[in-house]
Amino acid sequence: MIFSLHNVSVVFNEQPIFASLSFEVSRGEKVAISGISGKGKSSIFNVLLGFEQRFTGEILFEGKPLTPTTIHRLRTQVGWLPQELNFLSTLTVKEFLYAPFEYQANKANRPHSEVIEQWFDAFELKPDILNHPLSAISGGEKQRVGLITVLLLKRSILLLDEPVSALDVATKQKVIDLLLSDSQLTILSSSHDAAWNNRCDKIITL
Amino acid sequence: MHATDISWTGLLVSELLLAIPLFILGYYRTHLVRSAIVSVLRMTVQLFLVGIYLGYIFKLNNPYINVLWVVVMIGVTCQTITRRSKLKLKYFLIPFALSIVFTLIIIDAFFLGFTIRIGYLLDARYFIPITGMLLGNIMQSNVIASNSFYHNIHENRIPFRFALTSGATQHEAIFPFIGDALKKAFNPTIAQMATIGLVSLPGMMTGQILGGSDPSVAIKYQIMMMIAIFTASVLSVFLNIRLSSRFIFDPFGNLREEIIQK
Repeated sequence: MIFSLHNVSVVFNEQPIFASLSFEVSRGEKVAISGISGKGKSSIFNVLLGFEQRFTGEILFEGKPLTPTTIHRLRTQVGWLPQELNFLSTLTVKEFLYAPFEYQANKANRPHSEVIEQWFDAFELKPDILNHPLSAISGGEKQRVGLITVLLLKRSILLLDEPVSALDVATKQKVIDLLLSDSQLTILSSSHDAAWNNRCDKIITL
Repeated sequence: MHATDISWTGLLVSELLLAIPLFILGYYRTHLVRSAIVSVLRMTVQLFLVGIYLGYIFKLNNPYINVLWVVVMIGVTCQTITRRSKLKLKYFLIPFALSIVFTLIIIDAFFLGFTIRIGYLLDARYFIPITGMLLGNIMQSNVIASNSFYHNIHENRIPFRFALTSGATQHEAIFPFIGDALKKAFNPTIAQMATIGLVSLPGMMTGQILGGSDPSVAIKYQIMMMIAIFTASVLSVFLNIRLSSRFIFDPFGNLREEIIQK
């Protein structure tokens, strides 16, 4: 079992975000969290990643409760795609893709340019956007660049917040086929998209 | 040769010149007239008091009193930095004070001991005004840097968190924020150094020349002071951020929300 949530509730400023949530994510499983906007789908990721401690209930990662030690270990095994990618917009796409490989932990795994080209090809991105600033590419392109950045880290567990919301139908299908059919990947995602959610093994509705 | 003294009547008359900026500020309804008058009055009273007690401190030239005076100045600097950066003093007093004390020890010892080569480093005539100038600039740089660093991390949680989940250590995750803070704090200083002397003479040099120093001596002091100020400001910002980074993040690596004044 990768994640196990039991009766988890999150309250911010006396406003309940979600209450008594319980579910489990097994290795290789694809789980989608769906629900109305504002229902706290992104908050679940913040809680799992240790960015939010204002919760009650029990959360286990690989059978262990979320302590600082567990969280630090979790963050080395999980790839997270946030919903908002409007940051570091002064960077070019290439700089953004390679930024995690400037960190000491990832230096030895810096990908060759051919690997980036393969992912660009798989996600139908044109290589000439590599030198464009992030701010100059479309929302759909940004979303795919974010996905590729996370995939380059080769983490076996992915937390994806709205991974296909900005993609057109054809590209969305391609991304769905690539990610959701990979049995090596454990994916916990939040999404409004029916096509994505219906391909998952389990849907949790908030 | 000393500077020609200005009579108190002469000084009072010179304050009449303020009518020009106050009229312009008032005409354009900036709502700055009252605060400008209050600031000038405060400045006059403060400098008047400074003149009295500095004269007394210089006459005594006691090392304990000189150091005590600098300690008071450091306390005021720390309090001003946290207030103007909207940070809570209780979290930052110790790291700010430690970084400033360490910076001053290095810079004062180097410039007073090796550059100017005064035998007695705590000589009030050198120690207090030079340290005062350093502190004024340290304060300004740290306000800009602190505003940028802490508030940027607070407002840009997502890139910070993304770095933490992408393999960055705490320091690697805050690295770009430190760079941004340094750029914001020191771009203006670097630009100013490049044009110094071209448009106007800097204050210290002007004061020395008016006091009777030869311009060739005054420029050496000015160059030394600009280098000392730049070095002290950058060093104190760096130490400040590195020291306070040790406790402004919780055990999960998140910026503690309580450090920021709401």
